[in-house]
Amino acid sequence: MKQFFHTIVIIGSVLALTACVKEELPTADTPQGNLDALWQLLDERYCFFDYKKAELGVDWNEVHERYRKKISPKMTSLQLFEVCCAMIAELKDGHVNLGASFNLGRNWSYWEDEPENYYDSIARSYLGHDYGIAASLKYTVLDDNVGYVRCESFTNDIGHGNVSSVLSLLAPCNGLIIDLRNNGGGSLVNADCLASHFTNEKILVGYIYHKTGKGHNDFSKMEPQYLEPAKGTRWQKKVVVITNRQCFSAANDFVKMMHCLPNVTLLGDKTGGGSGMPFTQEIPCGWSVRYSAVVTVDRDKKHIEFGIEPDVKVEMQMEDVMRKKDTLIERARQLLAN
Amino acid sequence: MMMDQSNLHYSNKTVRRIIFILLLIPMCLKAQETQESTTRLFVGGGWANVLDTYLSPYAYKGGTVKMMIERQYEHTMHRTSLHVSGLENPAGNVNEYDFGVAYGVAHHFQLLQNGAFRVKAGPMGHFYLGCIYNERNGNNPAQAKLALMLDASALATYDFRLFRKDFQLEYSLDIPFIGFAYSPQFGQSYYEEFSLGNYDHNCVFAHPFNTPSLRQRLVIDFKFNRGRCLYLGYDNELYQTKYNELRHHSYSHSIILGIKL
Repeated sequence: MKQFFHTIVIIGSVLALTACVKEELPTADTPQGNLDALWQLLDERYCFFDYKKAELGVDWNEVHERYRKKISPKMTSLQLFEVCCAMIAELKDGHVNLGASFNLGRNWSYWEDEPENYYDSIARSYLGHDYGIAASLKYTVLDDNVGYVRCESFTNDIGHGNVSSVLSLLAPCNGLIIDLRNNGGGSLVNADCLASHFTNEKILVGYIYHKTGKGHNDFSKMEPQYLEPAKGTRWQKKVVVITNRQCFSAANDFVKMMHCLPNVTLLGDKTGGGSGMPFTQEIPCGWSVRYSAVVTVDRDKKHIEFGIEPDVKVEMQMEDVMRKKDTLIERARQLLAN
Repeated sequence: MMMDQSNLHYSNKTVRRIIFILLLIPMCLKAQETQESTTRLFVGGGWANVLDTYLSPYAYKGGTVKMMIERQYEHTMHRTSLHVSGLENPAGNVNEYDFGVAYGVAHHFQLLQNGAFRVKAGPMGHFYLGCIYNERNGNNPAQAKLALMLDASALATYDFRLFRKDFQLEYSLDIPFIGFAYSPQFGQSYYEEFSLGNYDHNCVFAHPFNTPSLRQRLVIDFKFNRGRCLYLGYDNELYQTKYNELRHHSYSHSIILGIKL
């Protein structure tokens, strides 16, 4: 017994003192060190390399070589930030950001280069002044007895009580419009909560998986994502979900779930995508690095990183804008009337 | 042959046996509590260095405060401790907080008694619950820590007289040996774990190769009249893990001050 414990103490001490667990990324707070750390961090943790290579031809090693040449030891922070942002923009992912105190590096080309299909003053005119507010849902009844729910964000909590109350109040309506335009996302839990009030049975809506190691293909198995019916009020009539290119992240996931439901029509423009759940890390100078870490795909195991196509493609018409009419809302009303 | 953590499989029976043994230790030692005991309270503060690659690739450094209550019987020792650390990243623009509670119960066998020098050693059941919170991160804001370990524990004491006063020098060392610990997978989100209930090797078998750690403490005991004692010492924790490709270390060096209760 005595010898056993002596042995354990000696072995343990040797292991503890020799096997130090240290940082693995470059630690030098220099232009080269920061660029290398940013590149390596994404190389080990970003989850869409193979998909981006197939879709965009992104060769991450080639990207590293190309941007290393743009680094000089005497460059300023602003210059370094510019180079780093250009490097991460190659991934064309709205979830990949570089955060400094003076700027946020991003690639928002997925909506900035596309028609917005949304005019805030016109959309607000449909809500009028007497609309209801339940958490982040704004709602009213339109003239033709169609319920209209504006959901601008999934950032703030939406409870089942909120959704049940709204749907109960709108229950006499002939149909429901959920206007999701410009919803840049938020919490997946809130998106799940809202969607769960539109199904009567548990249905498969997609799959989710994450990285298990530093290799580009080190992934866990795909776990099915189910949408389960909420216990409160559940909507049984037709629904039109209006989308545009700014429906991103959790809003994209909400559209993915709603797309699986029989009474739901997607109308408007393709969503903005953003199907990777982002994590945050940092580089030596303290700039935050946000990147997609967890992959969600649709029920056919297809990527929705670049968005979901609508069932009915509708764009805002200038003649409607001049008449202060929202083409997408008007078309949704027609669909529900039929 | 290198063993990949993901390839290790343990039967439910084996897992249940180890957990049962770990839980049994405090129950078996209950019998010791009829004996005479010494209870000591320590408070201290010092310096901490924490790395957790689920939150950041870089080590955060800062101050730590800790408190320990220790009850010592002839062969049994119960120790409850808690600590809070306020940390900062190398760039100095983000804060992180590390806090945790631990409970350990050890049974020491007398290994050596040579005059005033005594050495005792034995197994220690050790439970730890804690959290590291990074105030900037979004979907990975915190790292939960949960571990149930069987440690190797040793205690050496040396009595001496100086300036016509009695002193005791005490050194204790605990080395985590085997057990189970919680860890998220390399890129797994808490949404997957707790909202969807997706398990992915989150209960990790801990052993000296993936948990090369130790806790040690050196205390000098100043004895006063009527059995009163004051303790002054140095406490050092070197806790390291490599689970699911995630690296963690928590190093702390503290000066501690204690009294006999």
